Amino acid sequence: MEYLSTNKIAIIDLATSKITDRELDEDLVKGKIGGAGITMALYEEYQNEDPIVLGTGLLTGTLAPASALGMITAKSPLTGKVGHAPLTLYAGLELKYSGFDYVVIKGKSPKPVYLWIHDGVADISDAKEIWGKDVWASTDTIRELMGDSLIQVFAIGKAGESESDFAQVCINYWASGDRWGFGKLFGEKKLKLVALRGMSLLEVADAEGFVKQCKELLSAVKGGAFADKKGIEEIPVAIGEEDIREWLCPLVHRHQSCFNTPYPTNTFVFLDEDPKLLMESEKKEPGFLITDVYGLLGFKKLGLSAADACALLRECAKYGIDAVAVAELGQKAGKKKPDEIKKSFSGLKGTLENIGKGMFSPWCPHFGLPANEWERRQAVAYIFGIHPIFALMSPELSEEKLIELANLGTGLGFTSEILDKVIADISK
Amino acid sequence: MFPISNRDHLLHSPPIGIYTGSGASHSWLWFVEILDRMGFCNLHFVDEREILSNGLDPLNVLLMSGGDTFAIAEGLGAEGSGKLRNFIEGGGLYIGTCAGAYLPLRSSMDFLNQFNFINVKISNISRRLSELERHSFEKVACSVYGCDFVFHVVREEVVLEMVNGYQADGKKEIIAPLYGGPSMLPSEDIEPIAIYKGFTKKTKFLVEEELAEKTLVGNIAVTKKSMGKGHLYIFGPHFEHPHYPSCNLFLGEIILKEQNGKPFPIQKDFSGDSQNRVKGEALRGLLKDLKRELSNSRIMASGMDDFSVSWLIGNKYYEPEKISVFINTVWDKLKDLESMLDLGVDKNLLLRCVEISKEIAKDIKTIKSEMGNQGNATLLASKLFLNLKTLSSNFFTFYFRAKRNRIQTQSLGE
Amino acid sequence: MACEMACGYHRDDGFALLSACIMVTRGREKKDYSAVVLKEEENIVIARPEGLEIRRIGAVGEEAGADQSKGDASAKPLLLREPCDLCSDREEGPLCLQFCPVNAISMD
Repeated sequence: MEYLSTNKIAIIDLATSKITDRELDEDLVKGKIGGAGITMALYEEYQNEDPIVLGTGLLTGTLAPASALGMITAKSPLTGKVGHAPLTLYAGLELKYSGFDYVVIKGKSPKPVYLWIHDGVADISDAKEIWGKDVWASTDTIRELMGDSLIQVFAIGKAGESESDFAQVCINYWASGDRWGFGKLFGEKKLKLVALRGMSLLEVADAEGFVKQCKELLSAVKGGAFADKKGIEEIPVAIGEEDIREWLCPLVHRHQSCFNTPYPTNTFVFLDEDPKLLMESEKKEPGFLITDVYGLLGFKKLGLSAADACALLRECAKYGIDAVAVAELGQKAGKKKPDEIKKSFSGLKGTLENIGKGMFSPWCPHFGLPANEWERRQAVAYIFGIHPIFALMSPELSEEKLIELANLGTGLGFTSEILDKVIADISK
Repeated sequence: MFPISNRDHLLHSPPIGIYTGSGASHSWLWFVEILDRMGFCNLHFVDEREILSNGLDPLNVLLMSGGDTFAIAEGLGAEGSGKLRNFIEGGGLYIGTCAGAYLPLRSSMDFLNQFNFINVKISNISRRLSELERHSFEKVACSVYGCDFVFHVVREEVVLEMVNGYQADGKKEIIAPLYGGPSMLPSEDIEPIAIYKGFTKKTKFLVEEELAEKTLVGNIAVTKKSMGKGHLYIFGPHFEHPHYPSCNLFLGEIILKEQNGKPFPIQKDFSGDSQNRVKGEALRGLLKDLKRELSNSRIMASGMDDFSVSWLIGNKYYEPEKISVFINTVWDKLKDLESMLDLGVDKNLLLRCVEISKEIAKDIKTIKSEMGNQGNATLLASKLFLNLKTLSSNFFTFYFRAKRNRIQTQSLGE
Repeated sequence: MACEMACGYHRDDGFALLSACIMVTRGREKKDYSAVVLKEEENIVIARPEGLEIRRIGAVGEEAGADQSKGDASAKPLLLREPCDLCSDREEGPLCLQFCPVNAISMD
């Protein structure tokens, strides 16, 4: 696969420590396009070996607006079905630039290990120094060990190590969109974390045409409905939770976008520092980046103050546990105090009512869309590598435009019929 | 003019040495890039120790690029100077750019006075200035030269006029980049090839344009001198800069022209000793090891690009970004080797490269940590750059050896 | 970071970050602190949340001194991250400006 790709798939067997590089076959891309289309195909190919598939969309890591998305595809311990969880912030970008478009992780390691994926090289390393550490300490350790603070890390904490159903694969220090319990799969495989970094170059078939189209699309989306808004609090407002702004505002430091995404869907709150501070804080850990709307809302519904809610979100991320599950099960058990809620992390059990029904993580709100439309839009986002929340905000990123962009980028002649078929294949 | 598909040209590539020893900056990597691009594959890398051990004997050409002229001269010493003289007088071709251009020019300075191959004066030296001009030049870019100083009036592009029937890429006028190289005055000892003619929009003036013009225009930028059976070509500007293809072409033409049409069949570099060679899957494994360590190094080094620190090593300043330059030059050529797995590569040299890469990664990490703690990393940086140079020259040694073997194997196959 | 990608495209005609002359320093993630660094010919321009800083390349740190403030006229360019040329060969001007998704970059 010549364009918009590193042309490599890594097949990593944790049981035997064998790593094989495979070429990304152009025929596979012609038939499955990319992202969830291909991760699903790889999952099916290796399904007898209970794989975890990391992947990137066809447009991930390019100048296409909101081309931030990577994903994890695996069988969810919570639902028993195959699901896709989003990897946002800079994780999707780094996965592609680490030298592999897709990574298949199969088998179980006899002892704790981590993967270091860099510049087209995949290494399995002993994780004895980091097993037992929380997510934050694990990320810090890896970045220090490898000597680079831009390494992207998918890590599990104690929740994953103890194989909790609600264990989440976190991104660096933050909650991810893993609502499927994929952290448990990592724990079962004794896989502590995946660290990524790379400096690849992606070739483009019609470079000037592609870039021109990206520019036009960017202008179109920038003028969209969300133009004057920013931050995570606008998302719950859009689904009827008006009072969240007032509740959260006193803690807000800054809003942050994922890679190349015109709307900042994440908000950093300062809990141990003046939120108005512009200079670098002297405190090592002054706050938390909120990346999960429903986790935030879940704790708000328990009647917690914004500070307590955000502090709990931070604890959830360190522990590597799904905050939505903690909030929902905490509410069921009548827990209202932060300390009692934190104590419930270990051994958290129960059935969630708000578990996702489809294939795509319910981390992304529906914004009032009917279920089948939401699913389709998510499928398109996961195939092309577009931020799932932003994909719902921007009708300007239509399927036709994305197909056109894919053709300019790859020269492969995708059509809407091919896209329909890929979506159907993913959904069956 | 140098179609890479011209097998005859490839088969008869003269043995070319590139100096990588004390005082050499990173611009020798430019020679590697352009010569590889032009199809010259008989490249060898020599430092002062190799020159003193008669390393010039098998070579036809020695390329000396930019860096610290004093350090080069000191490293070679009187004995090295003698070896160089013998090399040239015996028929060798010496091409010097910038620091390599200053080296053989007449000088009374310590170490440089052991060379004095060419009796020519330079115009960019303070003794040629009036008191007022000297005072204003002192404030700008210059290098101490005894009681005087060598000054530089412009950087980046200059326009050269080819003279005495010479042309570059079919042109009488050419643009070339100047970074501190000499501006030479006419002398009976030399044959001018190009003179400084003027400037372009991209020229960076370090003094007033009038002064720059007075210093450069009309003076000699490129010159030739015959010495015994051999020749020296002295370039003020960097004709090996990869972004100036016409200049690169001229260099290639000079190299071939001075061989007088002698063929130099590529010799196989290995004796029958297969134990020293590694190929196939074993080679793939070792290359992956090298790739792993280089990747670790370049990832660590990339995070240093936003530091505005530099280290004074010898008389030159080294920036953290230079670390990435060395690593990435090697990295970019690794792919080519990955397609030559059947040919066999010097195993010990490759293993040595892997070891040095590990050391480099370790040192970069320590330097980063020192910088973060406001510590002094100059000594370690000095060691690091030495290792980077060793890694690069070792790597390119077996890289070009593999290329030569591929050509030899292909020609035998026919 | 889209700015880095756009600049990298300007240099390499493909998507890469290695040769961009504009960089976002994202390393202090837990502190929610980052800066945008632009490499010019002789200076590094650092845009921090609290204000702008312009530093001479190589002028800070271990060997800062009067000599270094002149710069090294004989220093060879590094040809890796080349200084910003404001995308002078492009009609529409700097690509980083055009592609910043959050309008964080402007040019006077």
